[in-house]
Amino acid sequence: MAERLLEVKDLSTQFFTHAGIVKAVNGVSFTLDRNETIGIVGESGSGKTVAALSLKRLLPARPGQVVEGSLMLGARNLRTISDDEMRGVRGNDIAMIFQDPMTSLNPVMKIGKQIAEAITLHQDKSKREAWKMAIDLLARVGIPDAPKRVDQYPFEFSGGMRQRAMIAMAISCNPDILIADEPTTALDVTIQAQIIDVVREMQAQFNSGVILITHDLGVIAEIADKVMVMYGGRTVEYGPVDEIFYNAHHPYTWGLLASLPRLDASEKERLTPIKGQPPNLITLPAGCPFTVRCPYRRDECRDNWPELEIVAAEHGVHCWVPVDERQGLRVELPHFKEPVA
Amino acid sequence: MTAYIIRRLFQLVIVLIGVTFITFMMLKLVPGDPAVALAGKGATQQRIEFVRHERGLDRPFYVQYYKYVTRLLHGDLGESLYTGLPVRDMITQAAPVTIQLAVAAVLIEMLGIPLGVYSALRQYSFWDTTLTTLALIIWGIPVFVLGYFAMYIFGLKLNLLPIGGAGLPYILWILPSSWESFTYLILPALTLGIIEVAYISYMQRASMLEVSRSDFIRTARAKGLSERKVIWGHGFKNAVIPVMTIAGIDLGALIGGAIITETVFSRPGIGLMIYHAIGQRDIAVIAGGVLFATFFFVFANLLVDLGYAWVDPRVRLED
Repeated sequence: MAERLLEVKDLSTQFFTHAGIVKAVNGVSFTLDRNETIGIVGESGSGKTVAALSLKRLLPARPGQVVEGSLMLGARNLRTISDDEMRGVRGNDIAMIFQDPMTSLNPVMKIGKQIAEAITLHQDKSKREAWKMAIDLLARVGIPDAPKRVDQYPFEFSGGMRQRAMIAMAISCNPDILIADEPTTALDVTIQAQIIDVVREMQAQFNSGVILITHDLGVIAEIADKVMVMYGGRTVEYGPVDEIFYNAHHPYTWGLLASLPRLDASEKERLTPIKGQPPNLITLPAGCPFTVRCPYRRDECRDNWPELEIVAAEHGVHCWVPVDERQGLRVELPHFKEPVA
Repeated sequence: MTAYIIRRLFQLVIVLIGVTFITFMMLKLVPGDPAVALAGKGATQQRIEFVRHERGLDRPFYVQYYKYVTRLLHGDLGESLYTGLPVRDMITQAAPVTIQLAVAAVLIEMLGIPLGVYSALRQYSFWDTTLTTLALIIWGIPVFVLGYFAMYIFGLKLNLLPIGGAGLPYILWILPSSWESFTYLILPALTLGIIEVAYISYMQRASMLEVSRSDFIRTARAKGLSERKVIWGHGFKNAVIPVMTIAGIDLGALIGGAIITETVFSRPGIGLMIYHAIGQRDIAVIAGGVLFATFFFVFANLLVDLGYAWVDPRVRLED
């Protein structure tokens, strides 16, 4: 039995704004074990990032608030520990890599100092030792000429190198959990592959659990062990990565898969978008948030949130369409007619 | 850094050449014949021609400019048409009075930085709202209104502080020599300084708020740094950079403000000197005063730029 690192139960996060209460995350649950990678997918505004920031208590303090749920990091509940304890958790137990490496580093502080700062904070190391470790870390994430680079400022680094430096900073204290919030979105495709490799290598070295937030199913297929599909702040489906790709049960997951570009498609074929707009998080329906865009919606969808239905081992879905009907519908979908490469 | 300083010094020389040209043109383009003016009232035509030749006023334009710059380099700024005193001596006398006021105002202005940071950290709190509102009101008051108001209250009604004069003599060029000498500085420096405090604190607040929402601040928090380290170690330096730029540009306004302030408080500095000279159409004195003010401005700007480079590696290390 793998060591359980994190257990999130019924997490709900809301933003109290002038326009109304933004229900960003609504009753999300998941677990993370050592050496495991969970991918959280969903479109912009589906609550992926807010869920991650809730874990680290990094929501903008005034409007954002975790209103429900328990966030257990081992025996500690991240919702109830003091701010001081939380600072110890940040960086040391849970580290995070952000989406945009161009703006995520302090422009007027040397790269080395930004890494060493995290080390001296959480470990009993002198400044000199921390600086040496920073050089070592930069070399490990694949930055050439690290002894020279450590002395430079972010503006002297390319985007890919900045993201490597961010990873170096994140792993500097050997965290149990690494949250990567769209780590490759701002980078070009070749660099994306490299960064994913670095994340994977670091996970192997430090035996961390990784939470990978992305809207890129390609990245998920590459690295994740299990997947959680979010829509309108809710988990609509979760399961092992192969189940999600080959045995998806939720119409929204189907839509995500169908919208992927395919190399074997003819030139005239267009990408299949999910019709409609992302939901307004202030006026979410009580039921399934995907209702208005769902081609298979029925009367009960809007007002009632369907119970969790286990369709295979570790594979759950929330949907009102009966399971046999779903299987029939899925066979009809273009992307399930032949295996996705 | 050295390359940066050399480059800036080179730019400074070019600016100063430009300014000498402009002051020279001021002297040339003023209506009336300078030879007539110099020769004095009721001079004969012969006398006028003699003065014209003696002063080189019949030589070509570029020769005159060359001679003008040569004289400047020897410290000769000409004489006042009105008093006949060398302009250089007038400036040497007036400069400490102005510089004392400007330096005092800059020191007071610095108060705006902590005030702005304080406001930003407690956004929308009672003190933030109060400070920001006050800043906007004070910023909107012209120097002369504030000056006369302060003079009326503290000088006339309460009889606490002198309402005019400079409190000469000074020690170490610009330092007040006694408490009494210092009292002459208080009202003008506060009048000029408090408007700048309002401006700087407003800008610092906005800049700090913007920085506190930036991604790298979130990164710093995600590392587990204490709030104090996040704000002062990561936020402040980034937030003060734009304020420094604004303060640098604002130096010009400070000199302009010093001229008005000196007039209001009858401080015999460069400002009052220029003010009187304008009234008397004493062109050589005006030109000398402008030249001085420009030197001062350019030099102060250089200091700001060096400070800027010191704080921001992107400026320092650029090629």
